[in-house]
Amino acid sequence: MAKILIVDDEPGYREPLCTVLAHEGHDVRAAASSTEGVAMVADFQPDLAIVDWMLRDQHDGVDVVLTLRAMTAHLRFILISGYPTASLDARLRNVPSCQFLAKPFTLTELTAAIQAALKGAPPEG
Amino acid sequence: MDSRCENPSDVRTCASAGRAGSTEAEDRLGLLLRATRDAVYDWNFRQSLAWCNESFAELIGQPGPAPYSWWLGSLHPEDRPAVVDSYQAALKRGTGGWTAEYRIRRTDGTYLCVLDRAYLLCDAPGQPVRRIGAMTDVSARRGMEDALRASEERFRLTFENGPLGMALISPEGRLLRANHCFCNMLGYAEEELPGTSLGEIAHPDDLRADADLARQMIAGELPGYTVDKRFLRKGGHVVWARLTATTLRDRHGKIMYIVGILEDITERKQVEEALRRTERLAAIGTLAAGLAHEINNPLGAIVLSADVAMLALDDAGQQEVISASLNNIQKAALRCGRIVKSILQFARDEVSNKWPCDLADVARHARDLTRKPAGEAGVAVRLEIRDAMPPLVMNPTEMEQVLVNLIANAIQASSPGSEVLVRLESWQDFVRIVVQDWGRGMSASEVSHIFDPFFTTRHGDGGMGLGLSITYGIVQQHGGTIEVRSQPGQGSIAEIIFPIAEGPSQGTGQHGQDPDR
Repeated sequence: MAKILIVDDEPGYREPLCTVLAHEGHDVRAAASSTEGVAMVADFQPDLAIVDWMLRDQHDGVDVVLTLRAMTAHLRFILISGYPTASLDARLRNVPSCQFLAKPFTLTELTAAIQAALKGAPPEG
Repeated sequence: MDSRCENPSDVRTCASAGRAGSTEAEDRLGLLLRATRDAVYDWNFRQSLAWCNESFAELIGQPGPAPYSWWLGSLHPEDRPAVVDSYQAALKRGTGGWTAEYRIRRTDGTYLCVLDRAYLLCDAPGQPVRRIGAMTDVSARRGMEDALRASEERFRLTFENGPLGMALISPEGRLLRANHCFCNMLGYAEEELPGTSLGEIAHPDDLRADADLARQMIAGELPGYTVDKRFLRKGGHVVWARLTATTLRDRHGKIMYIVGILEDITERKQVEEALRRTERLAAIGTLAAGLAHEINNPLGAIVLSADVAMLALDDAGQQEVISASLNNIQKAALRCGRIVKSILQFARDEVSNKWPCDLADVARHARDLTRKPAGEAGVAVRLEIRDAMPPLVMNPTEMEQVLVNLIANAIQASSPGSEVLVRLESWQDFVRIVVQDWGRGMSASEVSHIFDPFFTTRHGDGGMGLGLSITYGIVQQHGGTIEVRSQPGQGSIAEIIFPIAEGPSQGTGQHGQDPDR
């Protein structure tokens, strides 16, 4: 299936996310901070990153997305957040290959978002 | 009634005019008449003789004996009818004393006020033979009395017609007199209030609002105080008023009256309340976003963990996965409960009661409350009180919460074996509280969000991100400022500065109004 990097500093969220995605057959690695996530990208070379919008060490998930994209051109993203989406939507319009998923979401919704993200045209470098 | 005494200033000559030889007694009388400041006169109607002493001449401003006709002609026109009436009445009673106070004209045209005490000798009622008396100049005293009367009148007018409600209250707390404005404010007629106790017109919830201050004022520990409290109008409507109380004491320091000045601040309170409501609505928007984020995270964890558990049900031997998922669901649900609890505390927006307290005591108590988490984390909390702390007007429960929050945060950030320092300092008109740790510190980005509701650096351990928001609110409510400085790996310093309220140091306490919770 796909190589998926999860960046979320909430263990209560990160762990079940890893479990279900692994169960779905994906190759999953998890990072508890944006720094850790950035460090994993070069070695892991993921197809998709699922990033929490507000991390303890980085309060703007869009910045994390831009940093990771600069490192790996083909990388696609799903930003997840418990925040209301309105303010985020406008900013994401300028970020190609980026899905947004509002917490809480079911496994079905997550699977659909992953499929949509992976099917989308790879971003231009 | 012409004078036959040629030289009235020569007492000796005059006094001895009708008699042969002088005696020791006559000498004494003559000297006494010269010594007295009173203007002494002797009008002999039968013999048409007039005699006056030297003081008389000085008093009216011309030498020579003044005859009775002078007296009658020199009475102040306004006083003459009353004086003449009373004199005639005395004459009708026959021989005896007569006293009157009136104004009399001097030769330079100015008027003196004199107290005239005379003895009248009469043949028969209404038939005077002789009048002997002395006039005392009471102009100065009369001037003071007039000034006092004018001052009393001014006070009366100020009291009765002033734009502030004023009342004289007995030391036992009963209204003795209340002015028009005071009665108007409370909807009573002026004659209804005297005798009423203050307790009967105060709002039941605010009865105790100034009890301590009143006690201190009566004991002489405070010259007076000001308090905002609610009163009840006659019909039961609530009136917000700023009450300023002070005492009037006699020269021995005993309280004669308590003076209460009442200013109607109902409208101001309503505007403040409306403003607070608007601000609250604006804050609710921000808060709702934070709350949604905070609740959605554990909700998401619950949904995903349930998914995991359901997937595991299909596979044999997945008991551990199911158990871990259920455990995860339970933790997330409990976290939701804690968030709800915190949000309720955060949303509480009553204005708390404040009074002068010892900050050092509050700090000691806060340190005691954090002993358990400090012990578990292996961190020592050191309290350093640098100066004598002046009393600070505060709500001690809230202030304790501020210190507990800051100390708990510092403990959380510290490594075992390290120290958290709580330092109290007083300088000029300020009190400073510093809570410092040498723990992991925070990035500039974290520091900039430190007071945002739901911001936390302690995701895993139950930090709700509301502690510092609540702390910030309390510090602001107390008129203080809070600042946090930190660098990653260098520890953090939280610094709070409170101005020392003017109230207690000048003896006038300012009280809040809501009852203690």
